[in-house]
Amino acid sequence: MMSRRAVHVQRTEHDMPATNGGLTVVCRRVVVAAAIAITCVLVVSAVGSALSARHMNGGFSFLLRPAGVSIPDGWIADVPSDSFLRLIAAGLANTANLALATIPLATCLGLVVGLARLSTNPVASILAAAYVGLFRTTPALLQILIWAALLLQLPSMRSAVSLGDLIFVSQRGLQFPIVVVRDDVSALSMVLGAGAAYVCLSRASLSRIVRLAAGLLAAIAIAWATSAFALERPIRQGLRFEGGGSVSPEFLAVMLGLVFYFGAFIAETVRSSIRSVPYSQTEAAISLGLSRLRALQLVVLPQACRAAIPPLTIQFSSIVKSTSLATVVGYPELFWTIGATVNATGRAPESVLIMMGAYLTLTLLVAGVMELANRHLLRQTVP
Amino acid sequence: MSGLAVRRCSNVLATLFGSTNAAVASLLLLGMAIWSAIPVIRWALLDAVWHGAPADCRPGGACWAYVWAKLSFFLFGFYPADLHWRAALATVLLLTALSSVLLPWFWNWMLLGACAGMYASALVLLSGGFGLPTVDSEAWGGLPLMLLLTTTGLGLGLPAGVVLALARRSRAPALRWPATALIELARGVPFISVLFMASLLVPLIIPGGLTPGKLVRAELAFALVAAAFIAEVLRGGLQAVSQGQSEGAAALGLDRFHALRLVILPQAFRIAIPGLANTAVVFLKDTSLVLVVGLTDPIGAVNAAAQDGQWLGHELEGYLFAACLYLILGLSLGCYAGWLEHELRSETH
Repeated sequence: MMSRRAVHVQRTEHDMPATNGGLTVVCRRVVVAAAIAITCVLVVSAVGSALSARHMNGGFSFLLRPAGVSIPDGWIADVPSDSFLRLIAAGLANTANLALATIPLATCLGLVVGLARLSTNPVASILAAAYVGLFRTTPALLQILIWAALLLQLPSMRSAVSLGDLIFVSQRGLQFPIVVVRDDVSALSMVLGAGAAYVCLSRASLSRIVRLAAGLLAAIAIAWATSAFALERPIRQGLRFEGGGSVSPEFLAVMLGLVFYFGAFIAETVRSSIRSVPYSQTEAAISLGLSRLRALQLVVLPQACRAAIPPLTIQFSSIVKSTSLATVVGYPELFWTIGATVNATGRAPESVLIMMGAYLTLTLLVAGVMELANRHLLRQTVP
Repeated sequence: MSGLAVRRCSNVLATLFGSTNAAVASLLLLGMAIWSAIPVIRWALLDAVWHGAPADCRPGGACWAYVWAKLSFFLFGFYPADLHWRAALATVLLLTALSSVLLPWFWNWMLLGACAGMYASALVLLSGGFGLPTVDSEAWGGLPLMLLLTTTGLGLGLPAGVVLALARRSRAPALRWPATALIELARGVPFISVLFMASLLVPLIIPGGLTPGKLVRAELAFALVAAAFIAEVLRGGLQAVSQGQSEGAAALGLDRFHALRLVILPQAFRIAIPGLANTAVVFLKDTSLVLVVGLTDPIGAVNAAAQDGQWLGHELEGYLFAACLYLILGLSLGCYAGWLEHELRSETH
């Protein structure tokens, strides 16, 4: 007797019948490949001959020449005598600075507005819908320019608005106090003491939050006892502020523009990812006795996070790429420094190559970090 | 009728002020909204100056007289003032061409011919020739420039995007790898840098006197990035068309090309249209970036007008006018995209 086995049809792409026969397909592919290769070779040789006609063949050695441009603030300070390589590195650091400042703020704003949009309160949802509609339709560049024009209305340095003499807002930007390490040994002992407290308490079966709080208390106690850290406040001195940290008005304009622009996009992402969670989940949570807020926090949001990660990756990459708009207000990030390099040396192809490589690397980094977060989330939730 | 209205009102009031939490939240939000709206309304409407000379504008209120005075400059850029009628006519033609593409009932070859004709006549109107005085493409600006860039970019990018999407999905590595590389490159790099790259490298590739002007270079950059984004949207659409469709087409005896043209691509387009409409809105906004390469789109015109010595310090009013322009165009396009999605979904189900 023949056993009735279900015939499992494996659908592979090779099942698609090649109607013209195998050899013709191979010939076609070879011709196409040859055509693409010849086009690439032609373009590259055309660019190469055009460059050598203008005597621009020199490789990347122009990067070591002094730049003559200075970037006073930022993670990598740059003086006119530094090389172009350092200038571009300073621009890259400023881009990373801007992106790292914008991404958390935009995500928080987007989360709040997205949740407000989904709320049952008509005032909240209408206000949120108005914000999203307004800030998603106008170009990011225009929003940055509007913020720059608004920040020009800030008072001059002499009549700066101050919050308790610690934070100053003026035409020179935002000045704020920073924490400075006065004594390295005490700082190290503070960190070690906090770690020791955390580890010792793990013997006792206390919750993680209690252990973290104890570690923090130990750290603060040691810091206060040894005065390892000091608060450096900005002090007005003539036409400048001495001490403290500062942020230029151009940085503020770009950051505010990008935060409000991408906040609208992230709000839509949050809304669609929460709506992708079936309503039966909320119903089940409420029937278990959870309030709507707790149901949102414990049941819906974790599932929504998984759905939100691919679109959020796209938004974060867009934020990194949109930092290039800061050129228009004069903030010296990567695109601005590459433009200055091309203006000064005329080496367009090499500089463009460096710029494209840098932005592609940054985008890949963002995608990689989000992939790690994705794996972490997938591991935590039960499939 | 009034009973329904009363019930609706009481429903809304119950939601707003039903529980303590809701009441507090509503009052807080309403209070915040009104508190922040009052200075804006006072600046923009109450204390504003609507007509007059530069001297009439007060510092505490908006100066809409500036917008009125500079309106034709904002809309048409550096185009010669006596030839503005040509630019306006070209704008109307381009808007008609764009909006006629948007209605599904018109999609056939006659429409393509009509759109091409409208586009060509808009170009002729803007540039001159055929008995009209010529205007160099560097002088084109404002609204016609924005619509021209969008139309050219999307018009060139759509067929290129189809080719790229099909190449990316093909089984031949010789097609798949370059297509993937091109798409990821064009999408992973900021749009400003593609514009920058095009304006710097195109003169190197195309030598000497044939070097295209700034506008053509910007359009090439646009078409490249548009092709990459459209390719990604279409790839999603192509993936959504079930395998059975291509098998059925092969069973009917259609070769690959005709299977694509008659069976697969129409269905893929239908699925991908909401994404394509979104891409169109994004590109309409991205035309504002050409001010970085020296072209005068509406924002560039606003920037240039703000340098006028007579009307100093009124950039904000100019930017708000440009924002209104983009809002009108973008919101109508967005509404249309939502309507189209609704239409197509109700057709297929």
